[in-house]
Amino acid sequence: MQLLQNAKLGKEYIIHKVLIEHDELLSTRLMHLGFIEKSPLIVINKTPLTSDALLVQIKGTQIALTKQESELILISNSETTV
Amino acid sequence: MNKKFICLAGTPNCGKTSLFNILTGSNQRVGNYPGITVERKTGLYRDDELTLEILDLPGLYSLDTRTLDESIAKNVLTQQNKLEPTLDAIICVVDATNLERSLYLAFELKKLNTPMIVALNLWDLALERGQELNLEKLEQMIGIKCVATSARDESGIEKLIQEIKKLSPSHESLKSIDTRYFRSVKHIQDTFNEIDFVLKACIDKKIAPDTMTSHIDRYVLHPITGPIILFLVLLVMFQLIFSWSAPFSDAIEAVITFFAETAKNHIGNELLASFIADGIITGAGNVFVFFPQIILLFILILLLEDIGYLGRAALMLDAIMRRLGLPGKSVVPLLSSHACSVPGIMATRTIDNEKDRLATMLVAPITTCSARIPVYTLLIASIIPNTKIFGMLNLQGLVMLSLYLLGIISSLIMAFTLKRTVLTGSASHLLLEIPGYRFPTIKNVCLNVLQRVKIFVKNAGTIILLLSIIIWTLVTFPKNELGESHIEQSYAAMIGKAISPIFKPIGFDWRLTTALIPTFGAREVVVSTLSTVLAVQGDEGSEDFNQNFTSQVVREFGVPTLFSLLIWFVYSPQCIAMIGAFRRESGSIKWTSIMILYTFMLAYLGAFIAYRLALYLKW
Repeated sequence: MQLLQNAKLGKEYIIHKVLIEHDELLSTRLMHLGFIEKSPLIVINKTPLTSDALLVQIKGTQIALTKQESELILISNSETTV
Repeated sequence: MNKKFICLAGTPNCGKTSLFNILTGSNQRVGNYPGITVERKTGLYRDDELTLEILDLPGLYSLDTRTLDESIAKNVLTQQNKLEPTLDAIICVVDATNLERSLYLAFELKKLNTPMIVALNLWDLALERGQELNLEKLEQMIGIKCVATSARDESGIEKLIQEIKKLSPSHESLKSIDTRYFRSVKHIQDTFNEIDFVLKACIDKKIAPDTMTSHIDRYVLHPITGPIILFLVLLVMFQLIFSWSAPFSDAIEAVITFFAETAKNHIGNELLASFIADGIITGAGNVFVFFPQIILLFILILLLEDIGYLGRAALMLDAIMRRLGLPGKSVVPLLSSHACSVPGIMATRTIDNEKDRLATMLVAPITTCSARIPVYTLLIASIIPNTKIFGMLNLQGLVMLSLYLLGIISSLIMAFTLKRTVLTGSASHLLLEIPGYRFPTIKNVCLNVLQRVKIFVKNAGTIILLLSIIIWTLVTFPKNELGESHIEQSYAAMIGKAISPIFKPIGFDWRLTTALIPTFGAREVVVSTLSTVLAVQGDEGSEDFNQNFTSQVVREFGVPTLFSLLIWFVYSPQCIAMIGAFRRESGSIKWTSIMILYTFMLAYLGAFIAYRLALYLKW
C-alpha cells in the first residue's frame, strides 16, 4: 500500500482507502468524483513544470489532483500493468 | 398555452450550457442570484403548445455541495430557494461518453421526486467511439425517461421537448431531504455500485478509449513540448489583446472622434455641444473602445475551453501559481491585464474559488496595461538619456522593461500578501476534471461572447459613462467671464489645489494634481492635460510636440518629480473603465473601495520612495 502521490506513471492501481478522517470535505469530493474503494486508476501524467500535480484516469475520466489531494488516497498494486 | 419552469443540471463539462444555448438561442437573460455575484442564466423556449422558462444551473457533482455555485444549484434543485418559481421538471444532462461517473448526479436527483428527464448528451461522440447502449433497458432500470442528445449536430432536441411536454406534475410532494445524507461514505459507495450494476446490464459494447486525446496529450502535457505549447498559446493571447485588437480599437476611436467633431460642428450651443461631444460621446467611446479586446479575448478563452485546453493549461501552471497562493487559472487574467485590466478582470470568471478570484482581480490593476505605455514613453524620454549601455542596450528601453517587471513583481507580491492576510486560505483545490479534446461549437462560442459583451455594456458601461460625465463637469466648469472653459480655473483645478498639500511629499504641485483628475477617464490623457496646463506648442503625437513636451516638463517639474510621477503611474488605479469592471465583477462596493485605496497607497508610497531617492542622488 502506498499514497497515490508515489504511484508510478502508467501503472494500474486499485484504491485501497480514501483517508476521510484527514479532511472530510475534500475526501467526500474525491469520492463523488469516483475515488472509491476498489476502483482501478492509472496515473497518466505528472505536471510538466513541477510534477506537483497528477493527472489520473479513473472511471473513464481524467482528474487532475495536487500533491495535497493525492495524499488522501491510499492505493495498492493491481495485477495489470499498462 | 402550457408554461413550465425547468432547470438544466449536470456535472461540469457535460455540455449543459451548449444544450441550453440550443434550446434558448439568443432568448437569454443573465442576472445575478439575489444578494450574490453568481450568475443566473435563464432562457425561453417557445412553440405553439408550450413556453419553457429554462434555468441553466451552475455545474455540480453531487447534492453534497462545496462551493457557492454548487450550493446555489442545490438550493434550486431541492426547492429551498423561495425566490425561485416551483420547478416543474429537472433535465439532468449527463455525458454519454462517461456514464460510469456522470450518472451519479442523476441517481441523487432521482431521490428528490421532482419530474426528471436524463439527457444523454455527447451521444454522437459515444457512438463514434463504438458504445452500444440499450436505452430502453437503462430507462427501465433507473426509472427515469432518457433522451439521447447532441449539442454538436443538435440531434435529439425535438425528442427532448416532446418528452418535457409529456411530463405530468409530481403527485408526491418534494421529499424534505437532508443533503448531508449525500456525504455518507456508504451512500456514495452504494450509488457507484448501483451504477456499475446498471451499466453492466445495459451496455452491449463498451466505449473505446479516447485515443485522439491520448495522442494530443503526449505533446500538450510533455515535459518539453508542453510548456512550449503553453508559452505559444499565452503569446498568441497576449498578441491578440495587445496588438491585433489595436486596429479595431483605433477604428472605433476614429468613429467616436468623428461623431464628437460632428456634434461640436453642428450643435449651436457651445456648452451643449461640449457636453454631448466630450461627455456623452467620449464617455460612450470609453465603453465601445474595449469591445475588440473583450470580444477577441473571450473568443480565444471560450475556444480553448471548448476544445479542452484551458483545464490542461491550468494544470500546468497550477503548481507555480500555488506557491503565491493563487490557482493556475489566474495566469490568463493576469496576462490579459497587461493589455488592459478590463478584459483581464472579466477573465477571472474562469476561477471558481471566490477568494482566489478576488485576489486575482485585486492585483490585476497593477500589471502594466497598454494605456500606461504613452505615459511611460514620454516620461522616460523626459528623464532618461537616450544612450546605450554595453554598446548595445538602449537605456530607455531597459527602463521601460524595468517598469513592466516592477508591475509583474508587485502584483505577485501583493497576491502573496493578500492570500496570507485578508484573503487567507490555501488556493482552491485543483481537483479538476480534464475533458477529452472536442471540436468547438461555433454557435456556443458566439452566444457566450455576445453574453459577455452585453454584461459589460449593461453593468460596467453605465458606470463608465456616468463617471465620464462627472469628469467632464469637473474640467469644464466654472467658465470664465468670456464664457470659456479653462482647466486651470475649473473645479478640477480647485480640487487639485485643495489636495496638493497631500501630494507635496511626493513632489506634485497643483498643476500635476489637477492633471491627474482627468486621467481617471484614461491614463494617457495626462499627456494632453499637462500640455494644456504647460501650454506646450505643437500637435500632440508629432515629433515637435514630443520634444517640446519633454524639455518643458523637465524644466517645470524637475527630474525627481517626473520620476515620482512615473512610479505613481505604475500603481495608481486611474481608470474608470477598470473601476467599473471591478465593481461589476466583484459585486462589492467594499472591495472596489479597498482596491482603489490600496493601489493609491501603493502609488503614493512608491512615488514617495522614488522622489526621495532621486533627491538624495541629486538627479
